[in-house]
Amino acid sequence: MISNLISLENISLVRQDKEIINNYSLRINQKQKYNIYGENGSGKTSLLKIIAGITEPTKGEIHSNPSFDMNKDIFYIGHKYGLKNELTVYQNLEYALNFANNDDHTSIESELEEYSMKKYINIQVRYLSHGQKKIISLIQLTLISNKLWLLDEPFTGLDKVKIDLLLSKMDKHVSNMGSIVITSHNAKENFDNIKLC
Amino acid sequence: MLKSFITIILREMHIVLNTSSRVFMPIVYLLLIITFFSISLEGTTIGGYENILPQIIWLSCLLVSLLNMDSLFKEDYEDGTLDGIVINSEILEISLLAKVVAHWMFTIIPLVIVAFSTNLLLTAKLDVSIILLISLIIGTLTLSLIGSIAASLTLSLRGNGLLLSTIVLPLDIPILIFGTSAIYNASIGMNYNSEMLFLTTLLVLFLIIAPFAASFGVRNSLD
Repeated sequence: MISNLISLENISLVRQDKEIINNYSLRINQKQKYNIYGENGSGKTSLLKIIAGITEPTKGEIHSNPSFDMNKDIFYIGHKYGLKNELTVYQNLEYALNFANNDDHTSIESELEEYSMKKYINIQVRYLSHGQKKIISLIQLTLISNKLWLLDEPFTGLDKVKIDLLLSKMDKHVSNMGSIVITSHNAKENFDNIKLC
Repeated sequence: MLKSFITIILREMHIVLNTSSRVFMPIVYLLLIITFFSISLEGTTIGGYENILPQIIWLSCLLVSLLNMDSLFKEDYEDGTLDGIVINSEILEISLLAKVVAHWMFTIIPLVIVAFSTNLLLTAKLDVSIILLISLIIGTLTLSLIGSIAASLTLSLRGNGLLLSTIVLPLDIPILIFGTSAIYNASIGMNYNSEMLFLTTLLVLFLIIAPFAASFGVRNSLD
């Protein structure tokens, strides 16, 4: 049975007297992919941060399913990659797994191999390009596999091959009872598109 | 909960191991301050320079510990790892406490060891040096906890170093007074238990207050 994970009810967000989100409601269900799209400054990132629990809405309520743990079941990747420049690729992924209480590190190498990144396994992240950093940060998703992925413009900076690979990972995650919310500037195929004005 | 605490400490240890300048630069600063103090006080101190050296070392440790306090959460804020800590921590206060303890262990403790060795080498007084070591261990952990509150509150501000120092310095004064008094009493053979007790009380107080205040500050800065 498909169940509701998080409900946002009549959410508003005001910053410096400017209403960024006005009386907005959204239900995030299991096995769904959502694409929140809109122009620059329409409040996409703010909405994603509200769902993640980073930003407190000015008005409105957020309810979560009792079986859904807001601390353990969400994985958020924003505009920053969430990687330590001074650590190697392997160390970054290892600590991400440890922080998620996952001791199985065997899949790190295979995931890197899939994204053709295995040769960088012992390279410090500071020496990688922006696109490569983004791929490493996205690899964390499949390694940790939290129920809800919150991704802020995940396709930006990726080549066509990596975008297709990420889309297939997303489909696999959804078929395993997961959910995904992404932000972008356009409507996307195979996503529930939600326009923010 | 304990696992995420240990994970954060181990991660910070690996970062320090990969960038050794984080450990060595504060030590160089400490030795420079002590040297400059020594040059400026040459021949002006009644009763011998070695009598005031422990106090100079204490003050130098306080100043050097202030230098890198703004980096406590700043790097995590800038690279986005702080978002992950806030979202995925079972108890955010424990994770932030781990950050403070890691900062103290890998940046301040080497400083304290150098301070102890310098005092022992220059004064040849083991008993006073041991009191210096203990008071610095207690005092610098309290300073780091106080610094974590200010670092969290000034996190989203550019050039937050000056504001951070302005917030932290008045709160650091009692620790400096009790720390230096304890060493002075030890060096003239007087009882220093009450000063050490006050230092410990302040440590316990800030161990309780600082994680909650830092958590509030971090959430506000990310908001």
